[in-house]
This record gives sequence, structure tokens and C-alpha cells, in this order.
Amino acid sequence: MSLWNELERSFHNHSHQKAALSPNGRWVTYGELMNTVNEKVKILREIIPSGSKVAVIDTHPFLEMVHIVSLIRLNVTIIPLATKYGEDRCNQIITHIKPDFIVSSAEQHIPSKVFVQCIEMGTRVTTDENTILDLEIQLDEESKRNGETLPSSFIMYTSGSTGDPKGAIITYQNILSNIQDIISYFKVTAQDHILINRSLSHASVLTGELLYGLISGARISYYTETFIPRRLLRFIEEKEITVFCSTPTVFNQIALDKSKYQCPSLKRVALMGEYLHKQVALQVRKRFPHVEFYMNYGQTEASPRITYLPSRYFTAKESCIGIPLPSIEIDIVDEFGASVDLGAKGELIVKGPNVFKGYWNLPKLTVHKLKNGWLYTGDIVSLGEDGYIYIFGRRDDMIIRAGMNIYPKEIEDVLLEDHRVREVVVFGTKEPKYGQKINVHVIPDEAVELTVSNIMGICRKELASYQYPDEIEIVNEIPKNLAGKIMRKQVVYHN
Amino acid sequence: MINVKQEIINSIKEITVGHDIQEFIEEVLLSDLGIDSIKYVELLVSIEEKCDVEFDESDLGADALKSLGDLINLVNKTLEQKVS
Repeated sequence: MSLWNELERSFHNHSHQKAALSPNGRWVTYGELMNTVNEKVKILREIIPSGSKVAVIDTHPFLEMVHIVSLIRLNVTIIPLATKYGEDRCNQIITHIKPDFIVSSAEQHIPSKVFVQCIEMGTRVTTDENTILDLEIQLDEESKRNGETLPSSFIMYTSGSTGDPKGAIITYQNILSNIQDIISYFKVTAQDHILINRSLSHASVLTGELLYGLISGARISYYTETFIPRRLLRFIEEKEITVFCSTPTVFNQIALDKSKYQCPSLKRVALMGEYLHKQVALQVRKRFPHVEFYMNYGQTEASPRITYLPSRYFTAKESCIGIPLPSIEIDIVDEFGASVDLGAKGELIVKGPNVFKGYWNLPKLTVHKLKNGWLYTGDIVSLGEDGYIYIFGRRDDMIIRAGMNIYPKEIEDVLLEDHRVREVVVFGTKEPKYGQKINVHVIPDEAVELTVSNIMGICRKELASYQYPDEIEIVNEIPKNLAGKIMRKQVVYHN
Repeated sequence: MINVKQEIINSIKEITVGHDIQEFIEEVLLSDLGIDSIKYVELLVSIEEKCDVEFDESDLGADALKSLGDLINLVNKTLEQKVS
């Protein structure tokens, strides 16, 4: 079965049931959704050849959902963009991937800077009204050179260690296999009502919420307001939401809200994307004792789920990421790639039908991440005597704050461009509120005055808000090793 | 009687870094103070504690609460309702 076959089967079987809440507040049934998709496919098929790279951007996730499902039918490579992380970030991605097309429901739904960038890259703009720009399709240089066509896939962009985004190629089959694995432990049925409040540009949301929800025939509601726990709780209670996936940071903020909402309809909550501190697990369990909580671990390159912690251990096993999903094989290796002794710490590597095909146009990085079919996660873990996997930190210096991956170099490079900064080091430390927090230490240039406020000013001007430091210190010295290389403080989740 | 503006500024200073006192004019946007969506929620919780109020959720639309002045008005309105 293909991903499209699964979607089509569900749309057919649940045709009279509610599928998703549209931007104007009307429930659209699966049958209506199928008709909308079929109409869209009929038009797009004339314009977009299979194998094309197609970016998706819109003002509401319902509209993005319709584009994405239609494009799956067309077997193209889909690149979901999110305006939430800034137009500059979208443009970095467009420059890197050079999409053949960008799909949106209306021209004015594409931010102006992104629109201009698409024109410059030769990307054809396709909206519900018409194809605005009838340029010749310009295959990028690499495709011409290799004659390479991508398998039917998504390219999901995440932060890269150099500061530039990297696009993981995950095929429709990668995603379908991951959904089939998720079904084995996290049940979603046609009686469920899923709340989605994160961007569809995250693999976790695309696979584990949107596509899994549609395949299960569940109802999907999108929460698009700015996140305010009290209002979200009211939404959950009023709409009788049963399933919700989120990060520990966000769900902890929900659990800390003073209001009386108990959300009796809520049955299952999956948390993922960052380290779960024990006090957070206890807090959320206390606030919602009737809910089954699951801790998931994964990464975009695994489409994305790799392990899960059964609900009964949610508060019992601290720093535990559980057991691998059924079709995933794991090993724990030392720095030379040899399996470590039972119970010893090492890097988690995984193999399975969900493992990605590589990064778009970054062969060196792909070779580093993918060796003989094994995905090197970069996470340091050990296997406990109970047979469960425990996580300790990252092999590299990546910081995971509130579910977002941040590489210190992204922030350091921005600060070093300012002439007032002589040296800088950025590192993560333990912070239960966000998983980890971002620390910045700066040595100013001797000739100028530089305050903490100035440093924050540079960050606010040049960085996305999720990259803003939590702590800034002006220091006289930054520790270096004998070779003169900056020694970052060890990034640890727990001791 | 609490000084609402000062309590809110204290909350902002606790959860963010690097602010000069002259930045805290009522028109200043919370986003310009480096408050992202996560810290925005923390700020509301902190203000509720410091000012001993509980905001009505219908007042909490983030589109209506963009500046320091918006927050001061909200706390004053909530305090007045509490008294009456």
C-alpha cells in the first residue's frame, strides 16, 4: 500500500464523517475533502510534472493540508515551509532547494520577500486562481548534472550545524512505515479528535499528527492563535479534544495554568522533541491524572519517531526514551563505530524502513549521518538493565530548547560579525522549563564598550526569536584547549 | 497598593536578559524585548503571581497584548473587576 492508497481508503471509508475544521469554522467531511483534493489534483496535474520539487506555503494549516494531500497524489517532492520562523528562513530554504513550483491558495498568502525570492530562483508560483508566472521550469544544476530524480518524498528542513538549514529527504514510504509503527502503541481511531497547534513543517506533526490522523479517519482541529495556555485549555474542553501531541515545554506551561479546566475528554498526550525533566512529568501527570502520557524520541531523519516510553512508566523512568518501534533496529556504538558493552554509554544508531535517504545537495553531511544504512543520531544513550534506553546528551554541541534544535555556531557567527565582539562561546545547560537553555559568554573588544543589552540587541536584530539567549555574560576569558580551540561546556541533560 | 508597571517590569527582567531601564516605555513591544512565545506565557504567569490576579481568558488574545502598556491596562482592568 502506498501513502496515497492509505489516505484514499480512509477518505472513502469515512466519507460522511467530519475530517477537519476549515478556516471559516465549518467542518469539512472526508468526502468533501476528497472532492476538494480531486479538483485540485485535476488542475495541478496539468501544471506540475511528477518528480518536481514543490514548496508549500499558506496562511492556515487547513489550506496547507489540502495542498499537501493533493501533492502526495501527484507523487512530487514536497517542501513544507513555515512563515512562523521568519521570511529569511523561508528564503534560505528556497535558495538551497530551488523549488520548481511553490503552491499557495492565493498570491497574497505568500509573504512578499518569499515571493520575490521565488521569482529570482525561477520557481513557478501556483495558486488556486491561476499559475501566476509562466516561466520555463529550470531544473537546478545538480539535477541536470546527475539526471537525478527524487523518489516521491518530502524534504523537511531543520537547523544545520553551520547555521544554514539542511533538508532531510524522507520518502512517502518512510513516513508510511513510521505511521504503521506508531499505530502499534499509540491508538488513534475515527472516534478521536486531534488538536494540532504546531507547524506542519515539522516531521513530527506531518507524520504523527496530520497524516496519521487522516489515515485513521479522526477529526482534526487546528489551533492557530498565539499560544496562551488558558485559551488552549478552553479550546480543548469546548471542542472535546481527545488526542494532543506537544513538547514538554508547552505542555508544562499548560499544566501550570491556574484555571480550572480539567479537559475530561482528553485521553492521550504524546510529548516529544526535547529532554523531559522528571519534575515536568510529575507536574503534567498531577494536573491531568486521567490522561495517558507517552514520551517519544525521534528526529527528522527517522521520519521521525524512533522510540517510545509506554505510558505506565511516564513518571517512573527518568531520562528514559523507552524502547524502539517494532520495525526499527538499534545499536549503541563508540566513537569508532564498534558496539559498546551492555550498559555502557555510546551513540545511538538506528536502522529501519523509516530512515531517510540523505540531505538534499549535502553529500558530505549525508555520509556523516548515514553509514551502511545506519542513521547516526548524535545522541548519547545507554541500555539499562530493564532493557530500556536512557538518554544523556548530544555527541555534538546542539542545544535543544523548547523542542527547537539550535547550533551554537548559528548564534556565535552572528555575534562575531559585530566589531565590538572579540570572542564568544554559546552553550546549552539544563533548564527544566525548556529542556535546555541558551547561554552566551562574550569577551568584548578592549577598545569599545559592550553591554549585555547591546549583545541582546544584536541577537534581536539578526536571529529568530527561538534562538534568543536565556543568559548572557560578559567574561574576561573563554576556556580553550592546547590547540587554541574553544572548549564548550559539556552539554548535559542530567547528571 | 502595588505599582503595576514596576511589577510587570520586574517580571520582564526576571525572564529576559539585557535590558536598559530606558527601554521600558509603555509603547515598547514585548517582541522587541526579546520575549518569544514561550517567555510570553511565563511572563503572564509571573504577572498573575506578582499582582495577585487571574486574567480572564477572553482578555488574553495575544493580538491585543503586544506592548508593555497593553499589559499594564490589562492588570489595572483585572484589579478593578476584582474590587467591584
